Amino acid sequence: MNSAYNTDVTPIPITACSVSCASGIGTQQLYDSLISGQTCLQTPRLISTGFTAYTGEIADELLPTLDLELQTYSTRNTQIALATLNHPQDALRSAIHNAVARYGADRIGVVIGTSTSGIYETENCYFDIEKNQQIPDYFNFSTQHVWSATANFLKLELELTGPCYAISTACSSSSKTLASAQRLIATGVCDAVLTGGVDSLCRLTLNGFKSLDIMSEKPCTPLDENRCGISIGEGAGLLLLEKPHKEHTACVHLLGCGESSDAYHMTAPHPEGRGAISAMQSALRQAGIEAEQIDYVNLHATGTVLNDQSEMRAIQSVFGSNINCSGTKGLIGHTLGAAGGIESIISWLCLKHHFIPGTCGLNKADESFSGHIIKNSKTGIPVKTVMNNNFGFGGNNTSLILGWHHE
Amino acid sequence: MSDAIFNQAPMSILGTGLCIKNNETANSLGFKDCALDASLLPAMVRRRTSEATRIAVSAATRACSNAATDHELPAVFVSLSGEIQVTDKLCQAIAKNEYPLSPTQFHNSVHNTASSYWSMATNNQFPMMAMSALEDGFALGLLESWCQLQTGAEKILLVVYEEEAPTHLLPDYNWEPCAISLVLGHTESQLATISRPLQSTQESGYASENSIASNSLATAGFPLLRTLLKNNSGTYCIEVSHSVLPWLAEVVIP
Repeated sequence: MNSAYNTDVTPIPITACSVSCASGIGTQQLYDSLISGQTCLQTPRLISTGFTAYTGEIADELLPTLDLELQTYSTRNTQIALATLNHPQDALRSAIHNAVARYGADRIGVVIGTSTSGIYETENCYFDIEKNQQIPDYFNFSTQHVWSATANFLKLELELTGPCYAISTACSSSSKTLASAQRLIATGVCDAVLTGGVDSLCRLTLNGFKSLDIMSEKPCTPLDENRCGISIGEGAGLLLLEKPHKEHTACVHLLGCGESSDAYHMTAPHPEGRGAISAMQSALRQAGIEAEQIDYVNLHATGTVLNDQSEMRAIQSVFGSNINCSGTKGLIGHTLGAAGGIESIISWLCLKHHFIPGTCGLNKADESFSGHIIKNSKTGIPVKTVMNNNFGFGGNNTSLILGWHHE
Repeated sequence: MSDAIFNQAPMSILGTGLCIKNNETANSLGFKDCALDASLLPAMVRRRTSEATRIAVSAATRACSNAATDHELPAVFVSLSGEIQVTDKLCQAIAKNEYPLSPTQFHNSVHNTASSYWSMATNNQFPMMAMSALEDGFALGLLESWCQLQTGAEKILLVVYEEEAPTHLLPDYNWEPCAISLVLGHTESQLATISRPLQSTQESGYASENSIASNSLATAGFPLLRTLLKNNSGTYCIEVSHSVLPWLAEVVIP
C-alpha cells in the first residue's frame, strides 16, 4: 500500500482545544449549535457577492484587536485565531502557558493550516492599487499575506520559540497539521505543538468556487438527494498536542493519521474514492484498530454531487453499510483550510459528550449512499472512537482517528 | 548544540536536483544542469501551469533521476509565496470587478498546486505535503522530511521552490525563480548524509546582511549544494536557512 507507513507512532493526547466559527466562539457554543441542528449559514454580510450564496461568518464584534506590538500581523485570519486562543472557558492559552512552564518555550512548535491566510487584506490592497496606483502603507506581505503569517503571529503572541510553519493543502490543510505535529512529538523534536487551522472569508474563495459552479444557492445540504454545492464558512480550530504523560491519560488522544493522494484530478475527486480509501485504511492501521471499532465518521461531505458520491463509495468500501456517519458543513459551512481543525474538535466533542452530530439540512439522503447517515443529533450514546475525513484540491486526502487511549 | 542530537539517525542524500530559470544567473552562481525542464508534465498541463509549478517539477524530476529512483515516493513541497503570480492575476481581476474569475486560475492558486500536478503526472498516491515558512522554509522542509523518515517512510522527496515575485505588488523583492530538490532516505549513499537540522542560538552574520526579499527560501539550499559539488570527504556544519538564528545541519561526505 502506498501510504502504509507511519505505523510506529504512539497515541498523542489532545490536552486543550478551542474553536471559532459561525456558531460563535468556544467549544460550548459549537456543541450547543450541533445539538440544536439549526443552521448558522446566512446571506453574506462581509462581502457583497453578485450572486446568491450562503456563508458561515463570525460576527465582527466577536473579533478582538491585536496588541499594538503585533499590529503588523493584523488580518481577519489572525483576529479569528486570537479570539479562539483567548476564549476563557476553553482555556487554550493557559494550557499553552502551562506547557511552556513544563517543557520550555523552545520545546513547543506551532503548525497551522490555512487556505486563505490574509488574502482578504491583500484584496483590499489591490482595490487601493487600482484606485491610487500605489501600494497602501498598511500592506505587509510577510506578516499578512504569506501562508505562514498566522502561525508566526501565534508563535509571537505566545512567545514560543520552537519550529513554526504553515501547511496549506487546500481543504485538508489543518488535518495535515495534526499529522505533522504527531510526528514532531513522536520523534522527540517537540514536547508540545499548537496545531489546527484558521481560514477567513474572502472574495477569492467565494468567487473562485462560484467560477467552478459549485456554490449552493441555498444553505448547503450535504448528502441530501437534492444537494447542490457548498456554502463557505470561516473559523479556527486550534488544538494543543502534548507528548504522552500519565497526567494526560484521561484526555482524548489522536490515535492515527492517514494521508494519501488521488493522483487523479485538480478539483474532482477520484470517482471510486481510491485516495480516500487509502487514507482511511492508513489511519486505521496506524491506530491499530479495525474498521468495526470506529463508532462514528465525521465525513468531509461538502455538498457537491461528486464529492459526496466519491466519499460515500469510499466509506462503503472501508466500512460496509453499518457505519454511523454525518456531515456538519450544513451547520457552519465549509471552512476550507480550517475544516480539519474544526471537525477534529467536533470529533473531540462527540467523545467528551457521548453524542453524534446530525447532518444539518438533510431532508432525504441520496439513495445510492450506504452507511447509516445520522440526520438529527443523537445524545447519550457511547462514542469511543471517531474518524474525521478531509479531502482537498489536487486529491490531497487526510483521515484522522481520535479516541480514548487504553494502555 | 550537542553532537548527540546531530548524530541522531542522519538522512542519506540519495539525489539532488536544481532548477534556476535564468541561464545567466545559473552561470554566475556556478551551477550547471539546472535549466527549466518540466517535460514530465503533460503538454496540456505544462502550458497552463505556473512558473512555480514548472520549476518545482523540473528540480524534482532531476533529483529522482539523480537518485535513480522512480517517482513514487512521498513528497514535501515548501514555498513561501507558492502560486503568487496566479494569485496576483486573480486579485487584479477582483479589484477590477472582472467576474467570473477563471476557474483554472482559481484551482491553480492553491498552495499545493505544484505538489498536486507532480502527484498526478507521476501517478503517485503517496502523501503530498505543502508547507510554507519564512526564512526557515528549507530547514523546516528538511525537518518534516526527517520526521517522516523516522516514522516509517523509506524515502522522501523534498522540493523547495519560489517563482518570481510580481513587481507591482512587491517592488523590493528580487527573487530569482529557482527550485532545489533532494531525495532523502535510509539506505547508504555514495553522496552524503545530512543530520536533522537544528536551530542555532547564535546569530548569523549572513542573515543580517541578506533579507528574504533578495533571497528566496530556495536559495537557503545553495550552501548544501556547493558542499556536495566539491565532494571533499569530511564533516561540515552548514547553514540551511536565512534566519537571524540560523538552522544548521551536519553534512558528512564519505
